[in-house]
Amino acid sequence: MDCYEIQVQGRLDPRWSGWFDELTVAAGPDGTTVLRGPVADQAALHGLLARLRDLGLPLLSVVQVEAPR
Amino acid sequence: MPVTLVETKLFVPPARADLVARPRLDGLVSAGRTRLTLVSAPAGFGKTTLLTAWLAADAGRRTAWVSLDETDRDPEAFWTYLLTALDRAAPGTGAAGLALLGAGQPVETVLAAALNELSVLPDDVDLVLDDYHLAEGPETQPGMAFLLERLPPQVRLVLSTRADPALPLARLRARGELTEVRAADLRFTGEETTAYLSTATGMELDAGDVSALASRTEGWIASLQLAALSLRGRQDPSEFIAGFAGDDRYVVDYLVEEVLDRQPPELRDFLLATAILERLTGPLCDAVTQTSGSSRVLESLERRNLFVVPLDDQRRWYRYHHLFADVLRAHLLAERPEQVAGLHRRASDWYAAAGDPALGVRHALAGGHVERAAELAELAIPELARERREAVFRSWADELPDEVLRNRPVLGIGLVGALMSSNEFDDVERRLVDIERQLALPEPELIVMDAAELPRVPAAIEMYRSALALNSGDPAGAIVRAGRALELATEDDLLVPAAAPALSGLASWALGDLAAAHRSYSTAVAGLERAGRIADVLGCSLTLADLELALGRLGDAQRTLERALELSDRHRQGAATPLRGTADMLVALSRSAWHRDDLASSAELLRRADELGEPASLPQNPYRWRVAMARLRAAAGDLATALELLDEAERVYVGDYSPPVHPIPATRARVLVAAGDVAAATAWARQHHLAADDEPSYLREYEHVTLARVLLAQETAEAGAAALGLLERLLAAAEAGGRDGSVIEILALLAVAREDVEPLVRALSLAEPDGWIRVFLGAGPRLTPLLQELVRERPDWGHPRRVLEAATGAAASTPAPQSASTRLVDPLSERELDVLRLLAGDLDGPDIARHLVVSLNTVRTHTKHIYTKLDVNNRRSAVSRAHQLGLLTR
Repeated sequence: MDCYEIQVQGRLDPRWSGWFDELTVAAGPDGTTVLRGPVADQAALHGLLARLRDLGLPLLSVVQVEAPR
Repeated sequence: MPVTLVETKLFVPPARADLVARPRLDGLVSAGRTRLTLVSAPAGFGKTTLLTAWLAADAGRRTAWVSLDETDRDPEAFWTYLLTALDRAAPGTGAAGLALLGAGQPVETVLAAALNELSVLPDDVDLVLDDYHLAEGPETQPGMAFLLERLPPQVRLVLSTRADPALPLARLRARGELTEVRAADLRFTGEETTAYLSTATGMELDAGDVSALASRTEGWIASLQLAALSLRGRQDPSEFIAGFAGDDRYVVDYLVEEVLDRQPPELRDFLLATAILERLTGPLCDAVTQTSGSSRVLESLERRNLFVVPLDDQRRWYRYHHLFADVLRAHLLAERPEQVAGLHRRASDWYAAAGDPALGVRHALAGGHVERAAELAELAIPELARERREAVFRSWADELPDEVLRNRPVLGIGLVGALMSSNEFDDVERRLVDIERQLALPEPELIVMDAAELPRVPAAIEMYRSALALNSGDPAGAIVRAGRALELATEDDLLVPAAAPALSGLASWALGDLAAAHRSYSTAVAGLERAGRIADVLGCSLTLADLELALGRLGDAQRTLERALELSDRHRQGAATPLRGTADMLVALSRSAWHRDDLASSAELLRRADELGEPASLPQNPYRWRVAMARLRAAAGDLATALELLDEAERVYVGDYSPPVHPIPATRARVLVAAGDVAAATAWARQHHLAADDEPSYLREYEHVTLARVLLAQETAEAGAAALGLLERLLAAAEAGGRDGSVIEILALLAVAREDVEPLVRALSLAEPDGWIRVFLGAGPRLTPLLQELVRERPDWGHPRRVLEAATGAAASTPAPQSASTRLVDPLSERELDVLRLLAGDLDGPDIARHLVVSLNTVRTHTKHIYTKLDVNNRRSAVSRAHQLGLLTR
């Protein structure tokens, strides 16, 4: 499975993790939030992005990263 | 496959009374009467609110509204809703398109029919699609692009969406055909924020506080609404606002928590528990929350503006505002994940008991209760299948995991039925093999909801295999399998004894064995009647009558059709409209009357069919009616109108499962020959690659016989010889196939080709018992001397005289259609007749206007008057009524 890091503008509480397929939800720099974790496939990724869009959170970046060992 | 409509999706939401006036935005939209109006912004920006406010302000335009959801990604659902909404807003515009859609026609054909109506629509219509992002996808987008490109000026398309659609926006912008409202436009300005907060909170807020709120929420109405809710009744608003402004948490999160925290615990529980529901109603919420009084709770939520949106005007169904619902669901997942499965289970049970198995299954699956979902599915399928609502359970074939299907053969075969009825054959054989594997297991290992269904499975497997064979071009295999299916059918099976013979009949027909096809279809019709599928009886009876005509049994065809018509009448059960297919019966009876040269009855039957209109018609009826009317006009000598009618027939042509053995171009060629235009008829033969030395085949028999007529009309020795050879081979083939109807016609032509009375005698003997007359007239004027000779030689024989009378007195025996002025209370003016003539063609509104050198508005006004005077509400019906009344004859 690929790992992704998605950054949005605004601060989301870690409690939202369940809503986003158990990705970790952590504060990022400058009032942003970073969601990080494994994503099953492209369809799952677009599903996550749609959910972020539907909350009105401006999307800043989507990056594929190394899975943690 | 009809789609069952969820009425609430077509409900036009009323404008909310308590809105802040935003003249800045009103100006944007009323100025823009453009082809496309796009409101594109994320959730919670007030898109739907804005649209409903515009519509309320703009009375006099009809509104077609669809609130889309994810199920509308499926093109059949999407177009059904769109055309239904259009038809409700502008009655008559959607019916033709919906019929074509139901007949499985490609989307462009469907839309062309709708656009044909819309382009001359007297009124203006707004077509609003709310939440378009939910339906947009590769399956719906191409049709939308097509529709948008050809939209007439009367129709404005309005899309509200969270993501820009994949439509040519740049091009529309450049042409000034796009009005856009985006997030930046929808954000509340400082002034608007002040006005909103003061109305919503009922408080006078400090300017600094308002400014802090405006800045923190960035004019996003969803968060302003939540902020207003949180502020109401607070003693110290400034403290709250300072706390809010100083916090950097996601605004909705912060505010929803604020709102939730201020609710009594029972209400909070209610909100979280019901968050799993797409749509809410009192009893459903009671079941899910295991309380009572939910109806009152919902009404109170609406009164307090707590994010419920009514979905009808009886205050029975609601939904949560999307953003609010998302946050609630997230809270539910975070706080009470262990409750989610149970909530879905109770929702599933409620829907199952309420007679909505689709949502019952969906909730069961959402809650992870796959076994329960399978149970519900299996219980629901028999009735859904009986009501031909296969669209409802088609998706279960994808959604139910394989593991739950491994020991449920009855469910398995039900899902196969859904796939077959949507013509998706790829995965079927694999599933059938697996079901056979299951049937070999010891019975205790199987899960079957209704034990009576299990013995029916083996026959069903063979029946579906027969359909697969037929579909893959193996009619012989299909016949074998259908026979097996009948052998395996149980006493109480109602489906297989009807469907298997029908498949067999179709296969025999494709092989040209009409006698076998006839036997099979007769069995099928009896089986369908026993199964109570009366609408199917009508369709099959039409096929049976077609076969009987081909076999030369005009009398049998008459009886078949009359029986079916009587059956249809009996089963109407007092419904306002007769069953769909009744009009088709009348048209088929009209054809029989025409064959017997009873032109008065033929015309009367067509008139009755026209009066019954679209609701009583199968999708094929528009073209069949026009072909029948063309024959009547041709019999009256009005060949020009006959040709026009055939052109129209081709434009509205829809096929069905039966082999297309009477192609319209061949019928047109026959009229051309009668009109003396041999050159055009010869061109037809060339275009369709027909030659006198072709090998006769049943499927092209009609065309080959037509070719023989054309060759004889050419009146050269060479053509005559070619015709003779062709006719002799056609005769041998028709006799071998028992196709007496064709034999009569071919013999008449042979008599002309050989200038010999003997074949004519044979033909008349065959024709006499059932009264075939007009079939002889296609042999042309050269038959007349032969008939006269025969009448002289055999004065006691009645049939040749009858045919001779028909041949020579043709014009006299047709009742001329009464002139328009005697039939219409309010006759059409000359100008209106001009427009009507053009409505019969395929020009769109603007082209008609150009042709008449008037404005489109003038055309629309004329059209409106035409519709009123003819008592119709759409173009297609206006044209058939016009033909019916003889208004278009020359």
